[in-house]
Amino acid sequence: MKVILTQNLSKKFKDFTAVDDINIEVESGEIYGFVGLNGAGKTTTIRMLLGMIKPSGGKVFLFGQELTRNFKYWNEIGYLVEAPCAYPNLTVRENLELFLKLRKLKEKKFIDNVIEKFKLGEYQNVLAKNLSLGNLQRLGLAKALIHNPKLLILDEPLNGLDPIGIIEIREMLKKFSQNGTTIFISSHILAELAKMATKIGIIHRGKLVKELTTDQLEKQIIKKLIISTSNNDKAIEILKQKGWEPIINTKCDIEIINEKALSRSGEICEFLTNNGIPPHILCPFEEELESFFVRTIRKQED
Amino acid sequence: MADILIATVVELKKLKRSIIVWIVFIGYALIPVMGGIMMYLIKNPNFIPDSSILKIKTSILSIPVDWISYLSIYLTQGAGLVGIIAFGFVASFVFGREYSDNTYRDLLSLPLSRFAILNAKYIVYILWCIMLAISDLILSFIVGFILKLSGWDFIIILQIIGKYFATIGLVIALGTPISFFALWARGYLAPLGFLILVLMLANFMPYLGAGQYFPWSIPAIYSGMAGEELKKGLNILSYICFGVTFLGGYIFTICWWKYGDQI
Repeated sequence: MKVILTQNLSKKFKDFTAVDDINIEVESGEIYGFVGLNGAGKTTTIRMLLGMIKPSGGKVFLFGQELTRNFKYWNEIGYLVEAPCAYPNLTVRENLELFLKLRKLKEKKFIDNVIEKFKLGEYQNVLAKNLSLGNLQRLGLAKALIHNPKLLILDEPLNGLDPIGIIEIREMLKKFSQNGTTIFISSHILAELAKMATKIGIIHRGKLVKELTTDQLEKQIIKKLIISTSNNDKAIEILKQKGWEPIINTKCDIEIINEKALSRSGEICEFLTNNGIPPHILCPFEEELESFFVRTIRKQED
Repeated sequence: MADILIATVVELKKLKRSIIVWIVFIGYALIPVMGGIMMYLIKNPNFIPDSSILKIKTSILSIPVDWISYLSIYLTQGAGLVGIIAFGFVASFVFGREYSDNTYRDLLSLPLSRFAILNAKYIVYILWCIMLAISDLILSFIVGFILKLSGWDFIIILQIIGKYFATIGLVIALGTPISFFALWARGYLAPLGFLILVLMLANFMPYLGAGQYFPWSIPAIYSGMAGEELKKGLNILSYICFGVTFLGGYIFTICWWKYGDQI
């Protein structure tokens, strides 16, 4: 089932096109990482998904129902858009109580569960204005997840969290996803997105320039073996004779851009050693999402 | 209706520990307190230093020191002017706080309708203003009894109280354009700026002979603050201008919150 579906979604602010004909499909249980530079159109897209701003063109479907004024599935959706916020003069627990009421839910167990999940127990009676940014972020996420939504839309949810907090939230989101929650998440911490997303969408200047699953990403990211020997010219020559396609990179090291070279690095090492030029550097390299993202954006700009 | 009730409870809970509530109550209480001081000084002019403006004022005013003068001049007329400031401040806070607290996005994509949330805000605004009005009325009686004011006439005082609440009603109705500015400009500042502008115009319009058609002058004119002559000038067109402002403010606020882009 397509939990999120957009059809030619566009948003114009006067002459500026913030989002241009975006088509997104997110299946149930997927974690969709939405990546883009500042001002690329991520937040505008997210706000359109949540009905906060009206598209200039196109349609949004959530759970198969078109997002109109009569949309009925708001309690299936949890969200956190941009900076986390709370009523400053209310405690963590009071803020959560208000939010539960706004969702027309009454069971106090929702609050206790979410306080436990996000380790907010010791802060539950602290006023929101006295919380650190990290704990405020936890409270924001707790509000988004208080009602166990089937779809979670998160805009930069990892901001302000310390490294351990980031790991905790990542693991928690993975767990939610395994339990069937669909997650649409934007973040500039691409390494973290890469660790949890099952599908990645890259938005640039309002356009969705690339959309790929983690399997497709795996195939498209650069994988290479970097080699350095005492005689790189000779090494290149004999590697070519062996059928590899080595090149010299900008640092004057040898690169074999081929996934097979990574799995056969031991064999290559032995081959070079037997030919009297043992490598002093033999380094497998796998491109990270961040680098893939920059490469995709640059390609788009060219 | 159930949605509005839920949203109203939420809105009321948001006021917990809010210092603004007390600041407004204390500020608004200055009307009966300062009126009481004036009454006391008129009664005891010897306490005023010769260089004080009050000395000149009290000699010019020659107001009788009794219940009727106190309640009609200071309480009711005060409500027509100070009420616009205080209630305008309340409206700015109730409708603008979500933007300054950055919580407005939390109210937009919920099973509770935006219409219910906004109407709950109006209910809280009205309740808050009524509480201010009642607290000032009670304080006025306390001050009046402390001053041992003469001329207690239950029927006349009842009429004054009726006029007081009618003035309060008019002032409360003027909160709708303020609420629109709070949402449209996303915060407190624009509605407070708008409030200052309309207050200046409310004082200026009667000089041009158009006070009876300017909505923010109408409560003060109705309360008798601008004199009986101007009050007689209020006509059906005055109330149409007033009604259009009130309804226009309400409709624009609802439409903006419901249909406008919430960036």
